[in-house]
Amino acid sequence: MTKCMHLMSPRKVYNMTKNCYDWEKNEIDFKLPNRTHKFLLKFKGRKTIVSGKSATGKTMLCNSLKEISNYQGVAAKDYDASNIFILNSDNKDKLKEQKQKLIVIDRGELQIDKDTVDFINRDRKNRYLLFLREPKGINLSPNYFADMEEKRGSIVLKYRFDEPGWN
Amino acid sequence: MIYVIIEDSKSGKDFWKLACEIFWKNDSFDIRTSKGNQSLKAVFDETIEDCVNLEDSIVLIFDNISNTSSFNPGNLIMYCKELCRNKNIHFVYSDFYCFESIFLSYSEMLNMTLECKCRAIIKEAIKYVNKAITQEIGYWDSTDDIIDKFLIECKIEASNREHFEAALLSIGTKAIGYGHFHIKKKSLKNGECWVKSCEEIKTEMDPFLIDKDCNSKCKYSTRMQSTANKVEDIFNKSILKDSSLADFIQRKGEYDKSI
Repeated sequence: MTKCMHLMSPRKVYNMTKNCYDWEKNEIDFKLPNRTHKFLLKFKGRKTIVSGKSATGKTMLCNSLKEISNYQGVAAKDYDASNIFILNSDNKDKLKEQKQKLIVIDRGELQIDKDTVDFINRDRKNRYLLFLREPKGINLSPNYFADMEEKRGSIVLKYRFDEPGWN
Repeated sequence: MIYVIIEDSKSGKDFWKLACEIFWKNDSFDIRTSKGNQSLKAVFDETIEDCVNLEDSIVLIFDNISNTSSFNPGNLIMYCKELCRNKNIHFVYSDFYCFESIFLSYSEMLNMTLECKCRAIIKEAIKYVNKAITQEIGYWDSTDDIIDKFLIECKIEASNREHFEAALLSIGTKAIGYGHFHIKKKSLKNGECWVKSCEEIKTEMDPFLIDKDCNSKCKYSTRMQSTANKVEDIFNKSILKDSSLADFIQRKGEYDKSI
């Protein structure tokens, strides 16, 4: 029994973990105990581009999600990030296999090429959070462009436009 | 002077040119077109230099509001807003997704397509898109089973919402099957029944077709009406009704209904 417990993921045994990304609510909501800020990112649609200033929490979010995904340390034990796929140079070839995932792409201008952009534009199975400093050809209305900012102890998204006709 | 900057050089340009001519006096507006979205900023810069009167306005009409590889419309709007504010120039921009959204949200276009003989999925998609646009709930960036089904069944390869809407509008209006209701991306010529006076169109039509199509089949609610009435109907029964652009155009308007 002890051996069996050891082999199984603790999350599966206790099932007490919370998804960092809630697919139904379409939001990221979590706070690691060793961090000062909570992440509370409410998305409007299937794709969101964040292209604001440096040091607003973009890389910190990615690192926190990686920490949870890789189950590094006690800090990440309360959360599950299995419905999140963080794209990097090592797993680029796995992007097209994803289904019903929130794909997070940090430093998009360095990571995505024309083929990836084309795939993202046509992909209707997954959702995307892209950190992009320059337009790369991701078709998206200005309503889905946001900046990250701190608000009452949480890192939230501030959308640049909210024109109902652009939804 | 009202400076109208139009990104679209095809059917959208035809429509906006017609609307300006109907709603405004000839000497009160100046239409400027850009060759694609990348030269929009240059056209705007030239235009703002020409604005010398406090009464001047700039109207910026996008063909497609979505981001492309080398163009970010949101950044351009913020740039234009700031410059216009500094120069005290009234600035208005299109607050709908793309030109095709106007017709796909037009209730008469919905009625006409729902009555025609075409595949159920086309009618379903048109109905769904009409509702999504008119209720401003959006659709392309959310999960839409009907859209996915339409893309597969009609073998449409659309990488963005504008391409999808252009395809849906073309397929839907072609299915009407008579008259000149087919709206193509290239020009509004094949779709002139929506916007031009029937009298004018009939002068170039075969009398046999006039009898067969116009007199027997046509169910368009504004048939036999003037160009002005037809365009006004589109403004009143589509997404344009609550658009900032329509509000500006109609507020400024002193048009002659006899056109």
